[in-house]
Amino acid sequence: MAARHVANPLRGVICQLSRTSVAQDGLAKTPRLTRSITTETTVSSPDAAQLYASANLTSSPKSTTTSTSPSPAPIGPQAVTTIIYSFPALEPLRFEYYPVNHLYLPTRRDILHRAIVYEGDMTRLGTASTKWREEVHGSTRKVRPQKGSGKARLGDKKSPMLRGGGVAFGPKPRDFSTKLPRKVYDLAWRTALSYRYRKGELIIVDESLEMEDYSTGYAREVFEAHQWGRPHGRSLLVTEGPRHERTNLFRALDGMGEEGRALTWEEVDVKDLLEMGRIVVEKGALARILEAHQTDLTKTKRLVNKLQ
Amino acid sequence: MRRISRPQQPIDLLLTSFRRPQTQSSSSPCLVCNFRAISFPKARHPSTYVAARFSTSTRLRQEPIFKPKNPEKAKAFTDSIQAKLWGGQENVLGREDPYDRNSPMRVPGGGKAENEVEAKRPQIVEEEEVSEKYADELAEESHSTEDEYSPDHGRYEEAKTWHGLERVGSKEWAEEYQDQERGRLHFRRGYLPSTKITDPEALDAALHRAIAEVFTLQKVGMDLGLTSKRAGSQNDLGFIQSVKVGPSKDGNSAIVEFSDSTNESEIVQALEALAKTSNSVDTESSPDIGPEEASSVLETTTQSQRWKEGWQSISISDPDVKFAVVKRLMQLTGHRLSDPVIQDTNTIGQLLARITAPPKPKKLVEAIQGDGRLQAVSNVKVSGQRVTPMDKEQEVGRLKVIEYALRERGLLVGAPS
Repeated sequence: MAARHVANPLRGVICQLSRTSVAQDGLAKTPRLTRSITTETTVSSPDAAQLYASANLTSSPKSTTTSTSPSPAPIGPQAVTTIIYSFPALEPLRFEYYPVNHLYLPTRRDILHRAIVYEGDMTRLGTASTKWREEVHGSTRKVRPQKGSGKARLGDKKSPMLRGGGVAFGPKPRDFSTKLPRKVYDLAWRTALSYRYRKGELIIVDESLEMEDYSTGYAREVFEAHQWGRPHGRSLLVTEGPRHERTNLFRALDGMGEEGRALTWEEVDVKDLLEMGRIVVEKGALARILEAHQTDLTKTKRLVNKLQ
Repeated sequence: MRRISRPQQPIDLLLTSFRRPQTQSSSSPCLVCNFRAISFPKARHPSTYVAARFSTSTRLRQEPIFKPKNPEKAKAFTDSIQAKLWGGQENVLGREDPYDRNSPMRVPGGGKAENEVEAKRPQIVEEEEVSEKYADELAEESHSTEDEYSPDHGRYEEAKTWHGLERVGSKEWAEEYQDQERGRLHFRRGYLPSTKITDPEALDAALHRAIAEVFTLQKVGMDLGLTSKRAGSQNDLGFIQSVKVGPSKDGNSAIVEFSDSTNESEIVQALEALAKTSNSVDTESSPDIGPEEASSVLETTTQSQRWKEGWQSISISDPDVKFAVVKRLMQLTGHRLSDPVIQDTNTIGQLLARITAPPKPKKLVEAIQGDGRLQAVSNVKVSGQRVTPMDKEQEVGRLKVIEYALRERGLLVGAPS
């Protein structure tokens, strides 16, 4: 193998180049019959000045663009528009802009799948427990002689063969959790949020999701008015504040699980973000989620230290 | 509810045993008949009426236990005793007997039933006096007493199923009841009107209105958010429909043409007045403008009267303009525009296309039928449901034969004959 490579060092490169050109031709000629895994990736990019300005989440770019057709995504930061709503009236208050790598990532199903499997493994209790033969209480006396009884050979009465004996290779409490690179998991978080954004199922609320009344009836009326309930695919409400600061909300939604759920930002995981019809999230909660899941975007501490 | 017939009630039997006169000669050996033969109205002692007080019959319960000979005298006596007890006529409490027939505390609805009782009473008394014939009329009498138990005689319909009946006692019901007792808050409506406009012409009119208002304010240099502020003065802007909107020369903005020069100042004044009042108005509260109003606008003008040529390319990529237009459009039409739609939309032509686009079909069959291409193919059939073996048999006319054969053998169970 090595000799052949040495004999013709450029052969592999040439082969690869020819292969890619063929593949590109083929792709260009045949129509695309299947949907790509990264669907809906066309970005109509705003102006560069606007984009850089809007990397800061609270800024409101004043510059205007006239581009009407979607263009290929340029390298560098961009921003997507979101409406910030009031609650519970859901009046549009203003536009805010989020970086594309926060809320407009391509939908990577493989990454979402890995994150959900990772979370599922992590969530497993793993408490199944049985007694093996040495853990069963009892004597180690031989049940009957080795030979001459006409019956099977047996050791003590705790043998896995016997009723009341131990379990052979039975389950013991263990940790089922698997590993996933932090950067992949963080990307999955932002991919899940981006998926919601692309489908128009991410509603960002300015202040707090706290309700004025703690009754389930009131919450039902809110859900019905905004079409958030069961007929419209249920809703997940994510709060920034802890439960004791949103008592009315959590109390009201406690009795209407068929209409939706409320969770604090610390309780949410990727699977929750993908489960229901839409996500209603406090602006603060979204900021905290994004801040907590951007290790693949920021430089590591070690590198920063080295640079200093 | 099954009712125990009156004479079987123990109190009646007891009464019968000691009230029956020895000399009473009744033709009937039946205990019941003998008991009924006693003429109640003639008896004077109140204990005669004990059975009546225990009865659930309306007629019998109406009989008072004690009837004073001279009611006026009795009332005067009662008053004097009460005055002594309470220390003066003014302080007397509870003078009204709530159980009295004329008491103001009685439920007014019961009056009708009482009148009926009054009307029936003389007949019943006569019946009772004709004691000898009573045994023969027993069945009839029991029939008439049954009628008395239904307060809404003639209108009452017995429910065969529980559908439509009020449910009482569930967990939800208890919760709702407690909320009602507490007087909980109600969420009336959100910022958007509850009904969406779906008529394309009305949507076009709403978009025109939003664009005209926003660009007028932009021209004057006022706050664009004023358009979607809640106020009644917006109704006065009826002339907005006669305004023509077209693109500006550079294509970045819109030109709003007023048919009359006073109109522009009018709209500005109206919105200025609105700005003053809206400071005190809660912005959270719901707007007055509904889809009904927007749809009423469209009746008078057509699309060509509203727009100038090339209006679809009017740009709304300025974030402030875009926000004002989007917000006003949401308010007028009831359509919530999602973030990616807003992100991708840069002209009002795109915006109109988005809101007038028909909703995505929920079922595959709806999509196929709407498309129509497959239906044109001769060897393809589109069915809304799964095609079962029975459907196939029915199609070739074999189902009837099969059913007949099965029925002949007594095997067709539960199928409609």
